[in-house]
Amino acid sequence: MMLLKIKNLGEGLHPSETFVSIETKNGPEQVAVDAQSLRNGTLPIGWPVGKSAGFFLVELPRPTVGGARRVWVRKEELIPDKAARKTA
Amino acid sequence: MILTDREIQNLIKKKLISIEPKPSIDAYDSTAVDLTLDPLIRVFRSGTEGLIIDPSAPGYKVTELIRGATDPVTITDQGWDMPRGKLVLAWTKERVDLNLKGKVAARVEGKSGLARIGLGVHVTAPTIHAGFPGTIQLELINHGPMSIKLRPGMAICQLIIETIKGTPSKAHKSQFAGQKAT
Repeated sequence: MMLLKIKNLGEGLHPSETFVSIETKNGPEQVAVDAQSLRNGTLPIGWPVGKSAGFFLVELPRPTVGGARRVWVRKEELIPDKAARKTA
Repeated sequence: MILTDREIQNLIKKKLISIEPKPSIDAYDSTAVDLTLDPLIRVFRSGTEGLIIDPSAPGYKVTELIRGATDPVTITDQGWDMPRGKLVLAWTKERVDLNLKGKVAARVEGKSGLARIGLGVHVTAPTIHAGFPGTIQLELINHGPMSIKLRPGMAICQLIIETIKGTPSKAHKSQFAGQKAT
């Protein structure tokens, strides 16, 4: 499993949500995610669902504010989830 | 295939899904489990009726729009009277985690007793995708002729859990085997 780097922007519409920014191929995208899911500035996204020329297509747990569920990110934005690998 | 109460409880026991706080035994029926209303809701301000939303406009950001057009309200034990025709954003008290290993997705649906007095709990977006973690956001609308009192902790919706066929791509490692992301 992989973790996606995020920038914390603050509380979402509800205290259970955190508003984060992610760097995509088309620039920063914002998404409200489950606050408990965040791990040290990263968001678990499972495995990428596609790849192309240095970019990975990842599926977010919730749609971005623009409505996208899958976004292209640079491979540098992803970190292997070692904890998940150990338990797999 | 819709899961029965026993199957839902089995998945929770096996930690393949979680619902926290755990629903009491009387929150289940044969093919669903009730979820309850969190005290915090967001109420659209009066005076926004004349504004026009353009979801296709470049840079449209729904969260910022909602944050600017709503006020947070914490419902006390005395309850909050929801006027007729009002749209309110609400959340379940329970945090649901549909672990991808559980191979399930879900739908959030209304409760018949509330539906009959006009309370809808979602606006055509009931799907909880496989792998979803979090509290469930509800779009409450009072379609009825009278105000409806909302109270924190009331059973507000039901979660119907279904098995999925196959493994979603995001849970499937093989196409990336041997690759290292930096």
